[in-house]
Amino acid sequence: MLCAAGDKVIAEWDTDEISPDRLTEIETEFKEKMAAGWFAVDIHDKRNKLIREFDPDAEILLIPRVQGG
Amino acid sequence: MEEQLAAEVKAKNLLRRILPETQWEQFRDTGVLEIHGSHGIYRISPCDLTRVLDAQTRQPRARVCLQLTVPAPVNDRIIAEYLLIQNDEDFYWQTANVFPAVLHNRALVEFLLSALDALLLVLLFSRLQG
Repeated sequence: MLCAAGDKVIAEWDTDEISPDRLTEIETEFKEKMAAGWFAVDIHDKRNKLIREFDPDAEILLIPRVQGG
Repeated sequence: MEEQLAAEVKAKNLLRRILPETQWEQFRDTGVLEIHGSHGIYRISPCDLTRVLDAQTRQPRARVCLQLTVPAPVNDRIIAEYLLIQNDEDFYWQTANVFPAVLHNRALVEFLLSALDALLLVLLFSRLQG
């Protein structure tokens, strides 16, 4: 996710090995960010597509809420 | 200071990962990221407001300001602008502050004269009442 340090990794997983509970935790965090007005973009291989739903196969970049400056 | 510099480098590396190679090279060489959208051509700079040009004439249409709501390196702002313009340009326009491309000198003079007129009128009324 984007942050004051540039960006930081908040979760990494292997879809073949991750437990369902851990995946649910990550999804819950994703949903909380989305509810707070954040954006999620799948940046894997420069796809750069906005996503609204959690996709465990995506490389997700979370972008904080934006405003006019 | 070192942390800030490290953050800028990290954000720039992420920007490089996200941008297509040709756009990255343009940004690296010119310091400006140019994006073609349905509202025109966006020129995003790390040190200035984003400028929107007419796609046909390249005449300035507007200046646009969009910020992250958290402190972040300037290249993170560029990442956010790039991804929003690519994915949801209408949202970008609804959210950003949009300013006229150029404030003509004549418009500025007219505005200042009108403000002066209003001020003199207020002073006149206050004297008449006093």
